[in-house]
Amino acid sequence: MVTDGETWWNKVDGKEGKSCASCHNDAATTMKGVGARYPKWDEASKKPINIELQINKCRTEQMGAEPFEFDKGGQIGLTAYIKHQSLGMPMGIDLKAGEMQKWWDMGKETYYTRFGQLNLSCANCHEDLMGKMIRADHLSQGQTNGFPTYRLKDGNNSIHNRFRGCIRDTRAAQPKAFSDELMALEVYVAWRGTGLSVETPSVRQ
Amino acid sequence: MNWGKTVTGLSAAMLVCMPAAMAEVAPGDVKIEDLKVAAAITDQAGNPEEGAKAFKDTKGGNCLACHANKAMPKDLFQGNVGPALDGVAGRYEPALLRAILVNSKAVFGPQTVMPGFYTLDVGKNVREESVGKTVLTAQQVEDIVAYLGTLKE
Ligand code: HEC
Ligand code: HEC
Ligand code: HEC
Repeated sequence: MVTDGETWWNKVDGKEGKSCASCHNDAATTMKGVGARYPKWDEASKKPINIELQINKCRTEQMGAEPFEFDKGGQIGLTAYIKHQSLGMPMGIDLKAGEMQKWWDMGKETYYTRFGQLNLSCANCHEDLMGKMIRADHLSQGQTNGFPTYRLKDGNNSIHNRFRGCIRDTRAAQPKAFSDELMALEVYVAWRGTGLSVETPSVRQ
Repeated sequence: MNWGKTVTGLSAAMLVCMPAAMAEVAPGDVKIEDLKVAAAITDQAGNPEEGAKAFKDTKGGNCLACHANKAMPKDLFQGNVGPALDGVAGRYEPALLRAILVNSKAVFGPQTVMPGFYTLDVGKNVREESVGKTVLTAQQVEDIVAYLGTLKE
């Protein structure tokens, strides 16, 4: 997926006849450390923004191209490519910018809320049961530092797809990708990973 | 949670809600008293073979996700979130097993991660097709109770 991302990085698209490389040149220097600092505050939308939405912002505002739909086109590839430029660097997001703290609070609230017919919270599985086996899965801390990941059974997996999958497994209604609820969760979960090295793209079962 | 309240006035409510013709007790009417549901919640006796099926079905009880069970050696990938259920019949009587299945939280406390299988006391934002429904039917609860009764060491 990283190589796919590199292809998209150099691909001219949209009315302006530009590629990502036209403005950002060599990702190895311009994107170094960027992925480790996301999600970050976006003053224009007055909301947190993640890599996927930043890519769409550049596509619509800078390139005159269509935004990628969730998990489509070059979204996962480019996100992986950008995060990969921070390989080994510690995750650290800025909660002091804008209203990030408020979103962190919202995300934390969600993390500890029990959802669905099975009545389980993120914390139940990734804090209380961390290290246990649930069917064939070894429960991890549910960190995002390896995302997007490559799953042996079904390929590339984005953060919001993973969140949606975990919520579905509690038999709750799934919030939409990039909804306020999932953006707040991404902020909070990224914060829980403070100091962990970026490992994109990690391979998962 | 209002188990305290429901327990009071229990026998009167049971008499009203469970006339002889009724096939099963509605989830809201099942009484858990002293960590037990004394009487069966359907009038058809539990069938251990059906219980074994519901026990492993990932869309049903999915008990193996969290519990190991040596009596099902062909099923790989048994979880260890909860205790292994080997010999559980020797540890617990049916009335207690029934209570655990109906609403584990009334037995183990609100912190438990074990889902309640015949209760409407569930989490937030339940998906549309499951709103107002229990994970298992009353009959499946009785079938699983019967199946657990076969797990002797
Ligand atoms: C016409 C120039 C231009 C093009 C083409 C362009 N960008 Fe950008 N990009 C910018 C500017 C200007 C900013 C900073 C302002 C902003 O956040 O929008 C930026 C910011 C970014 C950031 C955030 C950097 C940080 O430090 O937070 C990322 C990531 C990014 N671009 C990725 C891309 C990708 C991927 C593409 C191709 C799909 C792309 N950009 C195409 C101009 C461009
Ligand atoms: C029923 C248990 C359960 C619940 C509840 C749950 N998850 Fe998960 N989650 C899993 C399992 C199983 C996996 C795959 C194995 C692993 O990495 O832990 C997983 C994986 C993840 C991963 C990927 C970790 C990695 O390194 O690949 C993230 C991130 C995650 N979960 C976040 C969440 C969030 C956020 C919530 C709350 C909305 C949540 N999970 C709720 C069971 C759960
Ligand atoms: C999400 C995980 C999970 C699922 C699914 C689950 N359980 Fe449990 N179960 C537990 C946990 C954890 C305990 C231990 C009680 C506690 O301390 O919370 C437990 C305890 C029990 C006990 C008491 C065992 C003992 O020795 O003390 C029985 C019996 C039981 N479960 C039966 C079942 C059955 C039958 C099913 C399927 C219908 C099931 N469980 C599904 C997590 C689960």
